[in-house]
Amino acid sequence: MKVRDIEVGNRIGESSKFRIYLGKMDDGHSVIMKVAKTFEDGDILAEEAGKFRVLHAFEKVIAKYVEIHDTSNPHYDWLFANLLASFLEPTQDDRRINVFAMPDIDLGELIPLTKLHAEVEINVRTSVWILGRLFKFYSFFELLAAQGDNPVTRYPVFSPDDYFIGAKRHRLIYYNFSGDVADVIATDFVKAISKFILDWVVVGDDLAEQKYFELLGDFAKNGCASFEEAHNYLYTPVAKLWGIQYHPFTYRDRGTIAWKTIKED
Amino acid sequence: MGRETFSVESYRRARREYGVTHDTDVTKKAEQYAKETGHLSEIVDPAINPIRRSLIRLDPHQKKWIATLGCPMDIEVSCDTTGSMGGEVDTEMAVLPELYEAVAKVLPGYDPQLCLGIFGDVCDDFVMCRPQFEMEAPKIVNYLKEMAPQREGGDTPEDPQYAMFARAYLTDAYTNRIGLKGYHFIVTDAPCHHRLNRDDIVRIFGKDIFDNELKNMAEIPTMEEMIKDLKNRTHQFILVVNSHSTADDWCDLCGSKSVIKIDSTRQLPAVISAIIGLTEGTRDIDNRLVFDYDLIKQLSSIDIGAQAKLRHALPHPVPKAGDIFRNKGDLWPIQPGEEDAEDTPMEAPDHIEYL
Repeated sequence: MKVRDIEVGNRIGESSKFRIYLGKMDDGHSVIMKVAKTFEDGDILAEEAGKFRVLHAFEKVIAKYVEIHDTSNPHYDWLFANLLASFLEPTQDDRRINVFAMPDIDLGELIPLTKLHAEVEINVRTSVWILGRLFKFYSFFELLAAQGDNPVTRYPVFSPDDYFIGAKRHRLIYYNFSGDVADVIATDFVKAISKFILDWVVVGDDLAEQKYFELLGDFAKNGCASFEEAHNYLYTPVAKLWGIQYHPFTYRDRGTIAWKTIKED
Repeated sequence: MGRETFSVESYRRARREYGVTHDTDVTKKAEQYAKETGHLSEIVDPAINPIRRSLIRLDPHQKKWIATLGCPMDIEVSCDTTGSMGGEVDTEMAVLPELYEAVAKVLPGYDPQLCLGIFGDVCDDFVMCRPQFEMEAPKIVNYLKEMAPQREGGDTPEDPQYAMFARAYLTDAYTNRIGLKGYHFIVTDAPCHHRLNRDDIVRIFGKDIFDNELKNMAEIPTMEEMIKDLKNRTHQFILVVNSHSTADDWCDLCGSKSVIKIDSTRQLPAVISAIIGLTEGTRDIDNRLVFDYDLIKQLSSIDIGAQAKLRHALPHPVPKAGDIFRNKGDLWPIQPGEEDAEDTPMEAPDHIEYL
């Protein structure tokens, strides 16, 4: 089936209000399509589209700043999906469709975080970059909040359903802004995210891993005043323990003991 | 009523034919005429046949009527021409092709009809100019060159409320008849007087207005009532040029979802088409036209898909080109299944029915 210039592919997910499909555009680019189940369900996707537009527009403001001031690029653009279009489709009973492209990565490399979490365990150093990406993602919202009045006044409650993982290239991509939102209290969010990682990671006996485990425990118990601060508190000891360098995505299927890796080509 | 629509070629030809060859002072002759005679040109004078109409275009077709284009979509833009905005008709003239093209793109299947007016202050000789809704370049170019902006300044707030009043009570739009809304934009850098005065209404819309078109208006509505009625008939927006404090005033009056701050009236095609596209729900913001963070965050706060909700509540699909109407004044075209009833033999044209 074709919708506008997109060939609709397999269904990859579903919520109470929308279904998620893979799609291929006429120009060959792969996309993810969220299709509202009914016309009325489209409201949630319209709202989501508005929020994604604001995220992207603000990301461009930061990118421009980086370009002008020649500072290091934080690449916030890698942290969330790129909304290509949001429209009501007359051939589908005016159900709303949000179309997303994934920045700088092939769709085939992406795995839903929820699925990954359910099927595998990860090693400590793999957990570091995932935790770091989550803190960085939320620190972007802190920057946005500092800009004052904008439509994204409440932030997404952390849910692994809302993210894809690109294991090879260390990508964590947020693509679902249709879930619950809350006034951001960094402390609570840092706690929730850290507990999620604690539940996922396998911590070994060596000293470095034990120190990291303590840090995670501290985050999970006490949180942090801000996401930026949490990001710094994470990477300062990590730099000392292992250095800041690429570490292959290292995992094992749940219930097994053999570690496997996914490396960048 | 034909099937002509706006084209860049017809726009250029119209400008040549009407002698509107310069980019500035396109209204110079009209202003001079208004000054000398004390009258506006009839085609922009809100007092001459005060009702403005946006109707579906029908041609005769086998004893019935065929819609030559889709459902009309009335888009009224009333632009401040006081003080620093005195030259805005020049801008409207310049951006007209871009504006039409942009709105047509976000209104597939519709017949966009433009009423591009201006307003000033009640202390001016002419408070506002309001042409008919038109869809062909020669007519739009013609009415734009006939505007008489007063270009006075210094007395803010201004009086755009009468342009809003005109859309609320002096407009016959097919969209409203079937249950949709048109679009109404005020473009200004000044706040609005919070007053509707009977004498001003008579002065602007003619001495007989309360005997004819507004004869059922027992009392002058309050500003709040008028804006409520306007919002019942249109998706209403205020485009505020470069003024945060003015935008705040308008937010208090019309609600923050209706107010968009812009940097320049050159942005009108991009902003108006983005607003219409989002409200209709069928198109997204064109990132090539709108990429400014402030603008995107404002556009993301408007009532997205509002027209789509109205469309869904209609008893029939929105009329499209080729639909057949039984009579010229019918609200809806003949619906599938109704056609059989239409096949009853017509009376012979020479039949005389004696009383």
